[in-house]
Amino acid sequence: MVIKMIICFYAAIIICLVITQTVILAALPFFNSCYDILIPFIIYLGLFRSLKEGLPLVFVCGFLLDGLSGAGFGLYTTTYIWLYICCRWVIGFFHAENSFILFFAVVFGVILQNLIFLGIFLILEPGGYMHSYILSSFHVQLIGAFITGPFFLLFFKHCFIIMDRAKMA
Amino acid sequence: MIIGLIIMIVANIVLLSMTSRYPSYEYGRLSIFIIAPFQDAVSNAIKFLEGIWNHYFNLVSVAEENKLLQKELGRARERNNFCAETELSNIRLRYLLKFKKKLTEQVIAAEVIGKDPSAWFQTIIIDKGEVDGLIKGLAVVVPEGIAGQVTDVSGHYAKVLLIIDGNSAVDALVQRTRARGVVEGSQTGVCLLKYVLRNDDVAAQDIVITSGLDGVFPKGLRVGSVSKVIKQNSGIFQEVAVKPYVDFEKLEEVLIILNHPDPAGYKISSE
Repeated sequence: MVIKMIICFYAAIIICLVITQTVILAALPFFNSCYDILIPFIIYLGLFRSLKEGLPLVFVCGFLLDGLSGAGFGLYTTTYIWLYICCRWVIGFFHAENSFILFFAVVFGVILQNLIFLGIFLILEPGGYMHSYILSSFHVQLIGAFITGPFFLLFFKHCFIIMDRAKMA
Repeated sequence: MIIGLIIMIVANIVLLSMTSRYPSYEYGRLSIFIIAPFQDAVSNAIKFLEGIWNHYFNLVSVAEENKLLQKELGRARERNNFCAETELSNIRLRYLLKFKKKLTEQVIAAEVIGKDPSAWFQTIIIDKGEVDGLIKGLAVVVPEGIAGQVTDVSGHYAKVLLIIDGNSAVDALVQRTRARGVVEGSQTGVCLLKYVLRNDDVAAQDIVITSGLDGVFPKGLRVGSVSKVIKQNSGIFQEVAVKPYVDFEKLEEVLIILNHPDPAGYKISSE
C-alpha cells in the first residue's frame, strides 16, 4: 500500500512537471523560453534524497523527456544523470541546506544542460551557426532559474515532507 | 577516480553523438503513450479557457474584426471567381497536353497537444496516431505550407519533427528558376536551402517549393520564401536562407497527408 502510494506520488509529480513544461508553458506567450523545470526536481533529488530513491526517478524523467523531444535519444537522460552526479558530489563538501547552494543550484543546472546541448550541437554541426535566438533564450532561462529556482526547491522539499509524514503514519 | 570519470565522459559523448547522428525515434513511443493523454487533456482545458476568453470577453474587438473580415470576404470572393476561371482554363490546357492530375492525397486533421520540452529542438505532439492510419514518415502540412514529418507514432498520438529542427531535411526547388537544394532547419525559425549550385539563379523573395524527390512531401507544396542568399568566395554551392511560410509559434492544427511515403525516395507515376 505504502509503495503504491509512493509510486503514485512520484508519477504525479513527474507528469505534472512534464505537462507544465510541454503544454502549459508552451502555451503562455512569455514563457516559451523558460528553462527545463525538471532541473530543480533532479537537483532536489540529488541534494536531499537517497541514491536508491533518486537515481531511478532521474532515469524515468530522462526517458520521458527523451521520448517527447526531437533530440537524439539519451540527451536528457545524460544531462540529468550528470546533474545528479554533480549534486551528490557537492553534498560531499557542503551542507545541502546551504543557502548559497539553494540559490545557485538551479542556475548551475541550467548552465550544465545548455552546455551539454551546445556540445552535441557542435559535434553534429561543427561549422554550424550559433543563433542569437538560443543565446537570448539562454539569458531568459538563467534569469528565470535564478528567480524561481529556490522556490521550486522549497516546493519539492515541502511536498516530500508531506509524503514522508504520510509514509510514517 | 579521474580516469573512471574521463572514461565515462568519453563513452557518454560517443553514445550521444551516435544516437544524435543516427536518431531512432522508436524509444519515444512509450513516452508518448504515457504522457500524451495528459497533454491532450490539459491542452483541451487550455483551449476551452481560451475559447471562453475569446468568445465572451473579446467581443468588442470581434465586432470590428467582423467588419474587416466581411470586406476581405468580398475581395476573396472576387478573387475566387478569378481563380475558378483560371482553374477551368488550366484543366483544358492539361487535357490538351495529356497531363494527368496526380494529386490524390488523403489528409487527416490533427490538433497540436504538446511542444518540445527544449528550445534547442523543434517537435510537436499531435492527437492522431496509429489507429487513425498514421505511420512514420508521413508529411505534415498546413494551408500556408509544409510543417514537418511524422517521426514517431503510438496508438492515438504521434510526434512530428518540424522543418525548422536541425535534424530535418526537405528536398526543394526554387519555383522561379527550378534550382534544386535541400531545406534544412535551424533554431532561429529560418531554414537554409543548402547544396544549391553557385551558378543557379536565386534571389530574395523567390518562392521555395517541395520537389517531391524526398519521397515524403508531394511536389509543389510551399516551403517558404528566400530571405537571403549567401555566396562564399569559394566553393561550388551557395547557401540560401529561407523563411518558412508557416508560423510555428502559432501552430495549433495540422493536416497529415496519408499517402504512404515511397521508400525508394521517388514518386512513381501511376501510368
